[in-house]
Amino acid sequence: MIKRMILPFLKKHFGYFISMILVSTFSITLLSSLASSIYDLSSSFTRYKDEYKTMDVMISTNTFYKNDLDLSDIEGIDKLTYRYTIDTYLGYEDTDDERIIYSRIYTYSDNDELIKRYSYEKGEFKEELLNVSIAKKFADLNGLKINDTIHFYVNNIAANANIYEIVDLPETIFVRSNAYIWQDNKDFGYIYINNSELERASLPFKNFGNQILFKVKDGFNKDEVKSSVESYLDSKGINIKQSIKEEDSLYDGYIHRSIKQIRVSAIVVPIFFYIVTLVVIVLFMNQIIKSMTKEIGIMISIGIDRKEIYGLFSIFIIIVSIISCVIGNIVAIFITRFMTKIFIDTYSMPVISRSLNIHFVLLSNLSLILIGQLSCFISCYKILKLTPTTAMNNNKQIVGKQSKLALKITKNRSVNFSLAINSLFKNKKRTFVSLFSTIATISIVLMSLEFNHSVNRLLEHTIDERLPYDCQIYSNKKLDSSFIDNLRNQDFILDMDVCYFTFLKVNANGKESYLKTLAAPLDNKLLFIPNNQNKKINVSEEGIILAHNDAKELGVKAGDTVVINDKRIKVTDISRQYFNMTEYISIDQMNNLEVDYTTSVLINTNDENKLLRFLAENENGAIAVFSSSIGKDLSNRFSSINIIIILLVLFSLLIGLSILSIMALNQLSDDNKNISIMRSIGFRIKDISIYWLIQDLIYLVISTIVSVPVTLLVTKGLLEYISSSGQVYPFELNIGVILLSIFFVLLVMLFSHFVSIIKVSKWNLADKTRLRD
Amino acid sequence: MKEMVNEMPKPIIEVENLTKKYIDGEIEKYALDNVSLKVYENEFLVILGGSGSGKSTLLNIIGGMDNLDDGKVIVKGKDITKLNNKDLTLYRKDDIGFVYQFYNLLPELTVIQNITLAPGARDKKKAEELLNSVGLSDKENKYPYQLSGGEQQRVAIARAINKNSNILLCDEPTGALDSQAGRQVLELLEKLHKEGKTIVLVTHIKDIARLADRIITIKDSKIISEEENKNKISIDEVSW
Repeated sequence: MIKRMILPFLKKHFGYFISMILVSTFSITLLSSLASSIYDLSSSFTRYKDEYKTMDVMISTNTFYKNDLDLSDIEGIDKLTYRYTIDTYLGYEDTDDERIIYSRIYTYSDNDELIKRYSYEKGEFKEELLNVSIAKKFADLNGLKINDTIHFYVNNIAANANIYEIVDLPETIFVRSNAYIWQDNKDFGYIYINNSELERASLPFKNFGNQILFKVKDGFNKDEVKSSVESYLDSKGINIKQSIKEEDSLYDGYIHRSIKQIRVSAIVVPIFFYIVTLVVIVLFMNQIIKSMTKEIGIMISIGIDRKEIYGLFSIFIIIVSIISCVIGNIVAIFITRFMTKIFIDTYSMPVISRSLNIHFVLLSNLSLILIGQLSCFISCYKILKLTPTTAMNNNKQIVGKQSKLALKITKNRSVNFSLAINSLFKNKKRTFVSLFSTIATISIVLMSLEFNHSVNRLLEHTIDERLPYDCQIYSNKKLDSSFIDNLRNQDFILDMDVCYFTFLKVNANGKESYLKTLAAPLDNKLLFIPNNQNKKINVSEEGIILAHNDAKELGVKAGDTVVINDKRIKVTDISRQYFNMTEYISIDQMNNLEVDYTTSVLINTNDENKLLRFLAENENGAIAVFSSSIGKDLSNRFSSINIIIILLVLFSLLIGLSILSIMALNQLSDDNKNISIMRSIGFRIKDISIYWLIQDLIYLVISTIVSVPVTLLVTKGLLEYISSSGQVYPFELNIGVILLSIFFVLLVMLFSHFVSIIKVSKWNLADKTRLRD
Repeated sequence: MKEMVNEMPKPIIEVENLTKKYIDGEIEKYALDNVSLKVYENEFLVILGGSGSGKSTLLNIIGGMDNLDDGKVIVKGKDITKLNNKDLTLYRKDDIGFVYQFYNLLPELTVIQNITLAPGARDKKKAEELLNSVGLSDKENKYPYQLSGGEQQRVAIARAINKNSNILLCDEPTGALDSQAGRQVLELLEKLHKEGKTIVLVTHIKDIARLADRIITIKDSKIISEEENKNKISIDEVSW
C-alpha cells in the first residue's frame, strides 16, 4: 500500500513537503555550518597556540646580558628562552616614495621550543643584507614579497634588510604596539631576526635580551615558579616591566572574548532557529495527518492495516529528513569553508582545520529525524484509534456557530475585518503556526539587526566621535621640549595637543584597577571626551573623568572619590566609552599624583608619511598610531560578525517565507469556498487580498507586541554577556531598526500570498461553488 | 413560435454553438454539444433537464464561471467568451446575479453583510429595502446558521439582485428546500420577474418548468426541445 500511495501522497501535500524540506535544510545548514566554523576557529586557536606558543610565562624587563642570567637552579622550569625585542620604524619603497611604518623586532633561535614560527615561504638568502622574516598579513597588506628590501631605523640609524621568509606566529594575530591599542596589520609590522643572522651581521642584540619566556614543568605551580624567577631577577638588579602568565595575557583574554562574541551569534541563534524549525515540523505533520482523517477512516474501513497507514506518514517524514540532511550538509560544507576562511583571514592564522564538525552535524540531523518521527507518532496516535465511521465523518470545514470571541470582535465591523478575524478562529492551529513563525522571524531579524546596529554604533562612537584627531604619538619616555617645539614647527603639523600618558592604580570600594590615563591640557583642541548624552566633557583641575565601564567596576559615580597613590581624587564626570577605555585628568593633577608618565601627543597632519619619517629620524622610540588604522582594524575584526548577521537575516526571512507561504495555502484550503463565492459575485483578487492583508497586519501587530520587547531584552542581555571591560557592545533603542525588522517581515508576509494569488486566479469557480458545506 | 419571435424583444443573452468537453477516465465526453439558445429581456426561461444533462454547466458558462471549448456567449451585446479575467470579474459583479442550489452565503457574515458583500453593493439602505422585499427585514443581524434553508435562499436572492443588473441566473434554487420553503422562493422569483427581471432557472422538476414563459429541455448535452409554455401553472399547483 505504501509503495502505491507514497507518490500520490507526496503530490497531494507537495507544498508541505517542499516547505518542510526548505525549512529543515536552511536550519541544518545554518546550525551545522556556523557552529562548525566557530568550533573550527576555537580549536584552531587552541591548536595553533598549543603547537606554536607553548610558553607559560613571559617576563618583560629592561635589557640584560644573557650570560649574566642562570635560571637553571630554579625548580619547575621546563624550557627557557631569552629574546630581545625593540619597537622601531621600518621603511620600504612604495611607488615614488618610501613608506614608513612602525614595527616590532624580535630575535629568535632555530631551536626555540617555546615560540615556533609557521613558515609560509622562504626565499634567497642574501649575504650582503640582514636577512629577516616578516609576518604574512603585514606582508600581504603592504604588498611585500619574498626577497624585497626593507630598511630599519634603529637608534636613528638606517639599516637594509632582505625579506628572507614569510611567517606567522600566534602573537602576530593581534597587532598591538606599546600604545595598548589595536591597529590595522598594514600599519604595524612584526619582524623576526635569527640570532645566527645577528651574529653574522655582528649586531649587538644577539647577546642581549629583554624578555624571558619559560614553560613550567608538570606538577609545579605556575605562580610559584613565576615568583621564584621574579625574585631571582630582582636579586640581579633586573627591572621587571611586566610579568604575566600566558593564560592571563591580553592575547588569551582577547581570543576567548572574540570567540565568545562570535559564539553567541554563530551557535546560540542558529540553535534557537533550529528549535523553531522543529516546532514547525511537529505542527506541519499534525496538520497533514489531521487533514487526512477522513481518508484514514476510509482506508481503515476497507481493511488496510493501521500500521501500514502509520508507515505511510513515517516514510514521508523520513524522506523529508533525508533530503534535508543531504542538501543541508552539502551546502553547510561550502558555507563552513567560506566562514572559516573569513575568520582565519580576520585573525591572520594559518588554516588548521576547515570542515564540518561531526558533533553538530549529528546533532542537527539526528534531532530532525527523531523529532519528525515523534511528531508523526503523536499526530497519528489519536486518529488511528478512531473508528472508521467517526474518522469518515470528520468535518474539515467549520461552519455554523462562530466562536463567541470572534462574534464579539467582529460585531459592527467591516466585511473584510470580519472575514479576517473569522478565518483566524476557523483553524486555530494554522493561526498559531503563522503567529509563531512571524514572532520567530521578527525576533531573529530584529536581534541580528540590533547586533549590527550595536557594532556600527561602537565603530562610529570609537572612530568618528572619540578619535577626531589624525594621530596619537606614544613615547616610551618624556619627550623633551626641543623635540616638541621642533615637531610643532613642521609644515605637516596642522594642530597639536601635548598630553601625558600613564597607567594609574585606582582604588575605590575595596576594589583596585589599573587604568589607562591621559593627562591633557585644559585648553586642548583635539580631544573629545563624551558624556552619556555624547556631549563634550572638559578636563578639569577638580578631579578625574572615568570611563563608564571602569567606574562601574569600581562601583563609583560622578561626585564620588577614588584613591590614587594614596591621594583622594574626586570623580568629576563619567565618560561613555565603548572601546579603548581611557581616563582623563589635567596635567597639573598628573604631576600632583607623582607617578611616572610618558609623553603622548595628539596631532592633526596633512602628511602621514612625513610625520613617520620625522619620528623615524628624530625619535624612533615614539610610535605614531593613526586613528584610521585603529578604525580599519576594528572594522576588519567585526567583518566576520557582520557576515554572520547577514546570513542570519537572510535565512530567517527565507524560513519565515517558507512557513508563511504554506500557511497561506492552508488558509486558502480552509477558505476556498468563501473565496470562490466572493469571486463568483464579482470580487477581484485585489479585493480578496484586502482581507489577507488585514490578517497579516493582525499577525504583525500581535507578533510585534510579543516579540519586540522580549527580543530587545534578550539582545541587551546578550550584548552585555559578550562585552568586556575593554570593549562594550552598546545597546541603544533604535526605532529605525525595529521598524526595519517589521518591514522586512511584512514584505515576507505579503510575498507569501503570491502562490495563493496565482492559484485563486486559476480556479474553476463552477467546481468550487458547487462544494457543499 | 415565429409569431412570438417577431413580437419578442431583442435577445439579452445569446448562446451560439456552445460546446464543452470533459475527460471521463480516458474518454472525451461532451458536457454540452453544440448548444444554441436565446434569452429575451424580461423573460422567465427554464432550462429543464435531468442529472448530468449539462444544464448546470450551461448556466455556469453563461454566468462566467466556467470555460467553454467552442462557441460564443453574448450577454447584452458583449461576447463574454472573449473577456479577460479582469473583465469577467466585472461581468459577474455588474451584469448578472447568480443564485445557487446551496445558497453559498458566507457563514461568518451577518445577513446584511452577505447582501452588501459584493463590491459596489455596499449601500446599506438599499440592502435593507431588498431585505424587506424578500420578507426578512427582522433578520438583518442574524447569521446564516440561524436561518432556515428557505430564508437563507431568500437572502442569497437578495444578494444576487443587489446590483444594477436585471439578469438573474438560478441553479436549482429550490433543490435543497422543502415544499413550503421552495414555494416561498418561487413566489419571490415570480415577483421579481413581474418587476422586470430576466430570469433563467435551471431545474429537473417539470412542474417548476411550467411556471416559466418558455422551456428549453436539455438531455445528454443537447437541446432537444424549445417551446413556449402555453400551460402555465401557479405556484400552488407545483407538486414537490
